[in-house]
Amino acid sequence: MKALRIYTWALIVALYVPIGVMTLLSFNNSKLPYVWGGFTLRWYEALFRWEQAWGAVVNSAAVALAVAFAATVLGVFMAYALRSDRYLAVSQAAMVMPEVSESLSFAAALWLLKSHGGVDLFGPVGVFLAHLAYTLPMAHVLLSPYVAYVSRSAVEAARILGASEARTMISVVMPLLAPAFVATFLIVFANSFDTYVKTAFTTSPGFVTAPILLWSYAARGRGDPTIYALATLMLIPSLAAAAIYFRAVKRYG
Amino acid sequence: MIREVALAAFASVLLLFYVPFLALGYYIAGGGELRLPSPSLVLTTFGLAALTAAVSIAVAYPAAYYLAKRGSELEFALLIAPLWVGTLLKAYSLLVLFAIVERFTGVALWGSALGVLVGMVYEYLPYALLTLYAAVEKVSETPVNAARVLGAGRLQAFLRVELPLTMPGIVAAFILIFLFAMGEVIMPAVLGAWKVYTFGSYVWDLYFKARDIFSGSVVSILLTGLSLLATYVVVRTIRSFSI
Repeated sequence: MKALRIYTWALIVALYVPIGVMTLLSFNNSKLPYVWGGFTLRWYEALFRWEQAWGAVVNSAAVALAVAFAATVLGVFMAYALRSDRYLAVSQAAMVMPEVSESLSFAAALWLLKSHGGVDLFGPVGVFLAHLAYTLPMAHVLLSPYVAYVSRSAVEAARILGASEARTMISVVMPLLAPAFVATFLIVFANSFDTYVKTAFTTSPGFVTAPILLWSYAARGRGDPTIYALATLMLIPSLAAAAIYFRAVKRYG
Repeated sequence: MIREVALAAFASVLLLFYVPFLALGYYIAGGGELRLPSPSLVLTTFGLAALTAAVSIAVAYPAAYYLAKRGSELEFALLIAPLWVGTLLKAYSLLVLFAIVERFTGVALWGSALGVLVGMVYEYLPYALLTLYAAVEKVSETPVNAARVLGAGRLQAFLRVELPLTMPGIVAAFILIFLFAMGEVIMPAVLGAWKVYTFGSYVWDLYFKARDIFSGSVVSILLTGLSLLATYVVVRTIRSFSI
């Protein structure tokens, strides 16, 4: 067991080396990744002055917030509406579809709508729709076990006391689900914030998000300390989401 | 009311997934020439995906075993947290790391198949860990203890009792990673420097370079079909081994 423990910790270290190196290099006062030139914040300053990068981060955050909000609310509705055994097959399909289907299909869908339906869905709206379509099944899958926890008697009591279905949802089910709600919101936010493929297929040239900007450097193999700083900033939502998720799950369990 | 909203949202999402099938109608109606990928391209993608799944499982198994038996919550959280970091961020950080490795050891990982493999294993390791952890945790101590009492060594008890009992988990992890890795676009593009050409890159080129969305849609459906077929074959083969 001791050897296994050492192995596990070695694996943990290995998992964090690439991210750690990049974070460290964003504070490196040298343009070369393999030369340490001392601590500096000038790449972050350069990033602050670079308007396109800021615009991209703001775009990403705005889309991710909207997507996380819409997906979580609709996800709770879906998990609540589809919790009976009658809809089991539908719930299972929700789980399997995003895993099996290629992300590329959204692009085809939007493209067909544009070319044959005459509706231009590229740009912010297209990105929002693509992210929503991909995160909604995820939110549903994440929330349905928690919705199953909400006891039937609490819902029935509210209904007998005269609350409408929507009122029950807002005043009874939602507060009980708060931890799951937070966890799902964060997962969806983190996922939407750094998804590249779905964004690339649905954006228009005028709408740049942080992953799109990062890609234009990554796909050419270019290392640039300003981009290291951008990538480090992009790590924050992901790792914060992970941390808060584990705490929410712990409190629930 | 709530049920109607939920079902409507859900139906429209599911429909989106099936839209590429409309492209098939375009070809059935004689719309144009279908551009299929070459067999060698398919073979490269299958090989890379299978290798990724196998290596991820091999690397993750000891850690998952430890986690299920003695692991603390912190270790679990630390191992699973990279799941939340985006693929592109992982690819970019590996790109930087590869530059440093090349400088000090002379091993050029960028643009090689090995580099892509490293990137894909890095990406899919948490999935393997989660699946294997669940599988190892489910195995009860009784059969292992029985084997030990009957005179099996620790290693023998593991190899002949525990490992076969966790086989369903291994198969599940293999399929999960294989399906994900089949459609991978980012890792081959960033770490393979477009030299490692996979199915994902081909669909990508059909959409973005050739601007041929009909071929792109049909080929992406084909990819889904092929990966499901491969999954079926894998399940059949491994099941015959384990029993």
